[in-house]
Amino acid sequence: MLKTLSRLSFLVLAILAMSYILPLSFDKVFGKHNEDPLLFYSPVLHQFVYQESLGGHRFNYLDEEGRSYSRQEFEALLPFVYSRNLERRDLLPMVLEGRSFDAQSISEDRQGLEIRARHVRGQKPRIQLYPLFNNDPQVAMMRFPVEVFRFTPNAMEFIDADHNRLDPHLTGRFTEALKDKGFVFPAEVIGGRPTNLKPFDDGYFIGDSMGQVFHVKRVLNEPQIFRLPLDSPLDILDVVVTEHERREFHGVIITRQGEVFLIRWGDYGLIPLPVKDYDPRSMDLKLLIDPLYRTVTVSSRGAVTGVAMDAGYQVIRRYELPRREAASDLVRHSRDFLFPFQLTLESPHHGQAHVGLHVGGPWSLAGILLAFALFFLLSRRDPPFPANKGDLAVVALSGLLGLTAVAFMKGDFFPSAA
Amino acid sequence: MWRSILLKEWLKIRWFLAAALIVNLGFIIKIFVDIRSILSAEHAQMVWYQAVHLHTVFHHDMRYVPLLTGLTLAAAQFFPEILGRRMRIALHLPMARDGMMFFCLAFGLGVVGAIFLVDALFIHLTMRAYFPFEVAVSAVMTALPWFLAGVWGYLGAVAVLLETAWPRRVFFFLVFSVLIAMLYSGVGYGWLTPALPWLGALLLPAFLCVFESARRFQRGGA
Repeated sequence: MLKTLSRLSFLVLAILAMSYILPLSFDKVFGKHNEDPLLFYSPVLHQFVYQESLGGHRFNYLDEEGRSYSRQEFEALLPFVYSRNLERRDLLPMVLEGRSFDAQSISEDRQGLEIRARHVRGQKPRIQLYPLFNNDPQVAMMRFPVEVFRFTPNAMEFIDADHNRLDPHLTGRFTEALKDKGFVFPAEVIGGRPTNLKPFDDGYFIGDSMGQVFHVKRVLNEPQIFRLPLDSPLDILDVVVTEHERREFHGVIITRQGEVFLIRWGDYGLIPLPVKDYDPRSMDLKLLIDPLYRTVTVSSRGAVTGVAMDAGYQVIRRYELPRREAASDLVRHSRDFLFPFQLTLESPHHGQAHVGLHVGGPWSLAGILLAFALFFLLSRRDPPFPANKGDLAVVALSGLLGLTAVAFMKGDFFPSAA
Repeated sequence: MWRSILLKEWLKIRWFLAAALIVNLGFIIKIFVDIRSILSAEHAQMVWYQAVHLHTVFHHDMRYVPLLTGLTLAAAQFFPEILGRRMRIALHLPMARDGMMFFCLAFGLGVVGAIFLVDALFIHLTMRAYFPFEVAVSAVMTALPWFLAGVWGYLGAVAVLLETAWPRRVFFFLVFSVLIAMLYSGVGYGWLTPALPWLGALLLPAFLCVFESARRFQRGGA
């Protein structure tokens, strides 16, 4: 019994190790990298245009109808994206829709935001300790506070870094202020930017256990808290705070259902972004704002979809660009043939380890059949490579990987060094 | 009989154990001194910022020490046994081969585990002295794959040492090297934490596969 278990254990370990390292090495040699196409809404053409990587720093520049452009023509179609280049080519100011735009007016009214799946809450390790910057109008510099805060089941605790102990005064002040505003502990989501490399501090947006959202700031060492006027509680996955000089919105709320809302500056109203079938845990989202339009793009495994909106966030155009397979058919089929499955630790959607077992396509069956044939061929050699049901099952499940492991575990396959 | 085997195992590893303990504690002290010196040179909140938001792992220097410990103790325990195939004598004692193997492995793993427990405790205490509880827990979780690598290194080294056929020995070495390399994947704190249950579950097959090597060793490679 122990003999069988011991042998099987090594087969399992060997197959897992091979199914991890060999496909990884194969991809390194034959390249499987697939860059996202860059999708933009052109205010000149009034349709989507995109840049597609061909590998090796070669790109295609195309529009929705498949018309091809040179790099310079492509830049001219996107004056708000490539304004600096157009300025050097004396193509600015440019008149679009009756308005004139120079480089400065463009840069003042442009904003970009990217929310990658791997950075969303729960997709990467995050220690829930945050600095709450003190907003003091008399001080120009954004000083890093000595305290960090955390949420416990019934308090917002501040810990003094100099002494590594609780600050009871700040803890009491903020906890009471939150309770006064109707905050129901514990906090579910904390969104903010814990850095002083930003133009100003906009504090944190914190979701409580009832689906309410609160804007929490520290002004002259006192809490300044505002409860967002939500129509109904939100099932929030994450909150991303922008702290952008345009001050059009505070940040973005993403729900577990894939809804995306901008938190409007001033009245804290929510502006829904018209994204369909967005899964924040496996798709990347980009929002690009220019003086005339807003474009949101969502990159999924199969396609990049774009939605162009006017300045009031009303949809004016949608476009879906299917992804092209980066590897050739020969490379993909060979990969499936050799490796019926792959063990992975990394995932493009996770900022931490994510164990995955990816099964190959139909060509894997051909690989398994070849492994079977080799298995029977070897069983006729001298000394024999005795076939038994267990080994046959291993080869049936893992193809050439299993055959390799079985070959190394056969008693007579290798002579003893002794 | 068991006490005699225990004494034999102890005599083989005692100096190596002492050396391993000194090296492990030396690194712990280094980490403690390094953190203290960083905190005296920089504002505490900035050091906390590095630890929490920039994913700086202050005990990073420690990462290969458990692996080295596991490999050293496996070599100390089993290398003398394969020199001149001395272990064959032990395998002919009036006790079951697998039972004796289990006992030797349990002894080795017990010693390795005790060292790692001390490491984990000191890492936690060091981090707790200067950082909030969350950072101290995260530091231990970040070090867990390194300790796991030490245990896998121990078991892999035993399997490779006991193996008698060179091609198989090389294959074992490669398999364990890949599995151990997986434990050093990722950057920053807690990267491997979600995979730890899976990687930890593989300890059982890693433990069991040593018995096959021992069986072949006794049979002279068959």
